[in-house]
Amino acid sequence: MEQYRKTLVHTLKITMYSMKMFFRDRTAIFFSLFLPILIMSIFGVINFDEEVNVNMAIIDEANNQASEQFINGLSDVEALKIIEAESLDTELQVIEDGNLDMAVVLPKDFGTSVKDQNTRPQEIKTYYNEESATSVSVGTTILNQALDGFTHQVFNVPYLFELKSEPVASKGFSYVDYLIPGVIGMGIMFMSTMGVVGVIVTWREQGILRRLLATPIHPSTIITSQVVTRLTISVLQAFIILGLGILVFDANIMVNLPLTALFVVMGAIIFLSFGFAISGVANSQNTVMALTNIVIMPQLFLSGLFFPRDGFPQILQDVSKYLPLSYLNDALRGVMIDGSTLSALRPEVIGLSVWILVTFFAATKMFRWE
Amino acid sequence: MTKSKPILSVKDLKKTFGKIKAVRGVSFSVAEGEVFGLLGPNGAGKTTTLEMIEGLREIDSGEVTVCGIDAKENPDSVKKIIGVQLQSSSFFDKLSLTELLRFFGSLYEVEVEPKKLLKEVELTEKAKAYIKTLSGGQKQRFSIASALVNTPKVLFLDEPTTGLDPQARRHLWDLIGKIKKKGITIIITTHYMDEAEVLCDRVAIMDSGKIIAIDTPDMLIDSLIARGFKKRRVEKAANLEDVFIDLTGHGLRE
Repeated sequence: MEQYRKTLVHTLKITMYSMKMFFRDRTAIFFSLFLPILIMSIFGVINFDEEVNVNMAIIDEANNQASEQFINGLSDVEALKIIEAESLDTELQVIEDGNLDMAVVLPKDFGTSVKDQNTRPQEIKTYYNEESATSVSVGTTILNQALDGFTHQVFNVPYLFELKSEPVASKGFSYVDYLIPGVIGMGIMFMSTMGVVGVIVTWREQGILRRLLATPIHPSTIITSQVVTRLTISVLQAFIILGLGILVFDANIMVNLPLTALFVVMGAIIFLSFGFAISGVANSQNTVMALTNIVIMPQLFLSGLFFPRDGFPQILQDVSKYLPLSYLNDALRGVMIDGSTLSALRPEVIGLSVWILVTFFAATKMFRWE
Repeated sequence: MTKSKPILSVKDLKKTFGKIKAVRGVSFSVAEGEVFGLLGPNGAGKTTTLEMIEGLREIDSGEVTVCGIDAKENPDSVKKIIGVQLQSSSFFDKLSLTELLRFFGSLYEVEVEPKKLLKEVELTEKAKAYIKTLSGGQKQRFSIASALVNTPKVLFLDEPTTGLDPQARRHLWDLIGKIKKKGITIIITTHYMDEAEVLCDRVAIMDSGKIIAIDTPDMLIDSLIARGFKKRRVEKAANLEDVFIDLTGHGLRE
């Protein structure tokens, strides 16, 4: 009994020292904390829901009262950025260079050739940038409306309809909300897989491992201390990102710490096992990098970290949903965005459990110290 | 040959790596309190022999007994009572010397007094430093301190002075002398003959995986002279290293 207590105390001490080492390691801190926060900051600033802006050049050949009135009317439209230009040729060049969405030419007799309601419609020529389809279609719609309005004004025709738009408050789901569970998963993957591989390979190369093996400590104690350290840090890391997301990035997410911690630990076990398996088969720094990238890269891009997997081709969707990071992301999003309960996330729990079994088995088969 | 019951005995020890026979039947025994040197050129099998005794390498065949414990059957029990300083091994770079000593204490499940250990190896002022800020000599001294955390009965030093300047070497010799005075048996490998002459009570000379001579340094020298050996040049009363030490002093440069 006394012996067990002693072993436990010293195992805890060893774990405490391995945590100390982690917190003093700037590279480790960067990958597990600053990288996720950095990504959140970058993507958080970009607003993907932003309204479309249209850069429109108007060549006013008419230069009369009607054209002036028309241009003034357009200037009031928020989405339009009107540039009054002199020559069409210059503006066509600007479009070619990609700095202008469309150019409109108001002909010399703009608004003056109108006699009565039977007059043939006057042709207004627009030139547009093929590459900016969205801006052009918005610009064309606005232009059509403005011309229609002008017609109504001239002939004094009453409007039959008036569109009234009323905003409905939605749940306020924003991109940052989507991003937070994703970067938590990414941070865990980096910290666990890259962290373990880095530590074991460094220990091996610097002869630290041999020095440890020359003591009576059982290697499993060293592994246990590493695993406990990294599981603890994973949960801590997830909570820090969560907190920063809510406080700094104003994220609107549901906080369920026990369930978040459960999935974080499940994910961390999978990625730690990957790490131990890789450090068992890789001898040189180069093989280590290659194998780590094979594990990390596909998950980084295919697990729906930054964008939903719905946008992928069907085959890719069917395959990528089985990735461990996909299960982790889906589970964390379920908890944080939909407020799902554990029973609602059964597919993710099963998926993660299967991966835990597979990778743990691989790690125990493949890992070796030297 | 041995004054008392040997604390370490090795009988017909063998190790093969693939086709290379690294150790080919090595036998020797070391008495308690003795400083025993394993000498030999690089690749003679010194380190492999030590590693088998230390439990770091499996023993292909032969017998190793440390303090009555069979090293082949119970390598972990042997590890508990020996101290090991390995050739070119390092320590965690993010722990201070004090923390490292406590950490190593936990590996042996013992409480350590870092201050006392660091004082013994004259690193008191480096207690809070990281290993990477130490000089070569300081690193070796710390490595010895880490090998003493479990107050071992036998201390293994594998080429402890390789790469050190003459001052640091002499300093380490003094330290090894102090450890010997405490009654700890020391097994040391080196390829500096002057070092072996100063430190070792007995030496074994190894070549190509075998011990080719084993005795006290004095006896080995005498028997060589008895065989009619003459130096090409008569030794002067001092050598170049004496000149170097005289000019640069005994003080450590670190």
